[in-house]
Amino acid sequence: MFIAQAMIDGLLQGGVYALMALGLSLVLGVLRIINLAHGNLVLIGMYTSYYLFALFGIDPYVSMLASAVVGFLLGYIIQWLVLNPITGAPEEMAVLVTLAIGLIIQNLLLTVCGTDYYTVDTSYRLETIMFQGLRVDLPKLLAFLSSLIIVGGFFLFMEKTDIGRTIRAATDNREAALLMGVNVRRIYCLAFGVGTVLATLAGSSISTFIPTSQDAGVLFTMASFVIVIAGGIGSHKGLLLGGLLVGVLEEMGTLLFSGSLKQVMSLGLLVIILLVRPQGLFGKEA
Amino acid sequence: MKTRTVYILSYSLLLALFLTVPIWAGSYVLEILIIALWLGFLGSCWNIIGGYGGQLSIGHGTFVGIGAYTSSLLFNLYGITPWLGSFAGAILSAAVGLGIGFLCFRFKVRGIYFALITMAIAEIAKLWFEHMELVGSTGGLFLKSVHGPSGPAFFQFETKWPYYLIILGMLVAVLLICFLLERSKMGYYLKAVRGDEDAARCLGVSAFRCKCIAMCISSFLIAFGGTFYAQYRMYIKPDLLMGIHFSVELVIPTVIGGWGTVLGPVLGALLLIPLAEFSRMLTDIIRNTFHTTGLKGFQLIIYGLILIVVIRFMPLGIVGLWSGLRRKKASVKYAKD
Amino acid sequence: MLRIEQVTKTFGGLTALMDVSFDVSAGRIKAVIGPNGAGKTTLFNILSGLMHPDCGSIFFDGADITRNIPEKNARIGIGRTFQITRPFLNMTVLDNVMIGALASSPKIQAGRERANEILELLDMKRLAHLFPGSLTVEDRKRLEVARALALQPRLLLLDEVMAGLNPAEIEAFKKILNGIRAAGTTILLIEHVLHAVLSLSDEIVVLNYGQKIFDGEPKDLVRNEAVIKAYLGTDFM
Repeated sequence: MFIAQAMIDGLLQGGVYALMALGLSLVLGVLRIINLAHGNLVLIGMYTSYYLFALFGIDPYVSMLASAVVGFLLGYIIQWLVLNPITGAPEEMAVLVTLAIGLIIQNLLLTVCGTDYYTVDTSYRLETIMFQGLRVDLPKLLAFLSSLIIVGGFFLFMEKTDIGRTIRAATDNREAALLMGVNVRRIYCLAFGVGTVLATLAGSSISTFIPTSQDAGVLFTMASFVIVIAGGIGSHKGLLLGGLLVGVLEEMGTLLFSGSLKQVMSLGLLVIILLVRPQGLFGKEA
Repeated sequence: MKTRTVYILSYSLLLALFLTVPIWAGSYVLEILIIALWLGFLGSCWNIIGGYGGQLSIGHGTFVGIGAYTSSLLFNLYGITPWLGSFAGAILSAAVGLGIGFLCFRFKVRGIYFALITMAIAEIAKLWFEHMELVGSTGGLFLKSVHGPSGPAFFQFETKWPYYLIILGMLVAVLLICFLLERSKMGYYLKAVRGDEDAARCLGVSAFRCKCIAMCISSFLIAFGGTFYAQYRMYIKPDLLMGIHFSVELVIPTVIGGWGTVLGPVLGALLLIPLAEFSRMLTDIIRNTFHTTGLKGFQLIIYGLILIVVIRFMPLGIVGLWSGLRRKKASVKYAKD
Repeated sequence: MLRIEQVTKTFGGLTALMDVSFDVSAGRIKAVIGPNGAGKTTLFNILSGLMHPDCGSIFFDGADITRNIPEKNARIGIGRTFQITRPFLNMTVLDNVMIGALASSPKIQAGRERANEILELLDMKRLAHLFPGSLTVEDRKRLEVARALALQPRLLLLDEVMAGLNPAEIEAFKKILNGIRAAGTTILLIEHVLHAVLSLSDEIVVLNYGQKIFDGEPKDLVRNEAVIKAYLGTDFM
């Protein structure tokens, strides 16, 4: 009984995790950047939604638009100013730079917003639906559904639009794209922008059921990495399944350990996967 | 040789200068220097696997924590002096470090994946300690016994200057170890592994063994830093020393100063800590409401900015910049021939 | 000294080596030639231990080294160079060579002396304190050889050490290689510079699409039909 409840919670959470990880996956695939600041980008989305809610009463699902704009601009600028100039540097250097970016974002939030935990107290925050004797939290359900829609929209975007196709082309073959006159640097900025948008959108929906605080960035980063690596870099299926897997694992973790220890499950999974099967479940050669 | 004597003389002078600090410096300056030297120590220990070994570990806080908790527990529960307890902590830390290194290097985990594993392990360790009854049932906080045995025999001092001298001594010891390591066969081999692991292996270098040894030494030494902190503050908490956050903090000064060099970590720490203190004072003036000593927001932003600038323009750190200039001079001469 | 028996290696759908067998006798220079993609570098990777064959065996002085790791092979006397030079960019030329020397001379001072000797031998003394990044192609290739030599190898695997060199440089290298052979080291080399190969080698093996199509002396090579077909279009003097 408890297991079934944990499964439901885990699956719903997992859907949102998949959206969150998608941004990381995009950046990793296109830009080959291990973005350790990813979780902090999610936080940007959370804080944006929180403040728009607290100051103007706008629901996070509406303010998602603002969140997306902020995310895109921020991502574009970061790539343009900081990451583009170091393209081609050894990967450890790039990692340290993203670490620095994350540090800056986190501490900006800390300095400006403080250490408090902020709750987006929407009218439906505590609503639940009973389904077959199992409790379904409404905010989580909404988050899950919106994540699916956004993920679907993203895949359409990559398949059908010119920008999407150019990004995919630049991913598959950078030299060819360069030769064809594509402004690769601009594509990189667009790609990072889109990746950040996915992160901030995830953040907005997460803010409806998880308190917003500046120290959660690291957890989101690690969770995203578990999903991307466990699912397999470059695999859409893997990403979605990875997200659901991590979501369920963490909820199972709350059954085994206390609630705040649930990250141990996903972190443990990360360690095992990295040791035993770094290409993940569905990935191509790492 | 003449240049050698110049070096020995100048470093001796520098050391002498540092030794005299307690005489003329006030408590505040001592405090800052102690923290700076401590971070320099931690960074130098990390440097052995991170800089010389070339394996980016973002989880060394784990070992600092193991060192701090082991000696503190042995003191709290059994009255064992931390002077001895620190060795127990170091040995335990080395065992864990070796275990992690063994698993990772055996499974060919390199580069960024190694960083991710160390990060994951650091967080797991922190979470574990935060829920461990033994180290404090109230959510993992841990208070050192202030009512037990005390005094210098138990690594407790009334004033700051003994702590200063101890950490200075520890730092000099690690620097010497790094200096000797650089010039040893192991040092050359580690450098080769850093340069090109496969090519090194084809020249008889057992990369696996070298990396494991480096990891072992690094985690062994850094544990002493944990004990020092515990004795200095008489209070430790998991998120102070363990987890990703602190692990990142102890790496930054080393990268900025120059990783893979002897003096890089110290240089970085001596530059950044006063800078951090300065910016903290600045924020205190600007925002009177921020009164807590724990709020470290602003200087980490400065750290981050400096880190980005350094990696962009001098990826080998400040020390690396200087040796890079020397290289240029030599190659210009070669081109002329 | 070296026996390669029915070595096969595939990568996914691509067969790099198919049932390749040949011997190398001690003290000889044997060349492995063939068009690009014929599997030569894969063979060297297997011989040095960076890769392992899917089937087949390698014997070195009678001992089975098929599954050995590179470090082990280096220590039992197999040295190699890389086709695209892989110097340790983070250390001087002298230190580069020292890495090889330290395998047999554990003390730093002894290792440094050996390294200096090798540099002397290859006329590289003036480069000792430079970094590989500032070397010319020829000097880099020499560094590759110097490093491998410092191991005091009994078998030296040279991967295209003469590619990209002008005739004068090639002559210089030929002298060096003959000197190495005279000192007792067996050489197995991959080369494209055919005239050098023909004059230098005692025996030649030709690989094409992963298979051995010739194994014998240079004078028989130029008349062999299969080889000429494989090399159709290639210029050799």
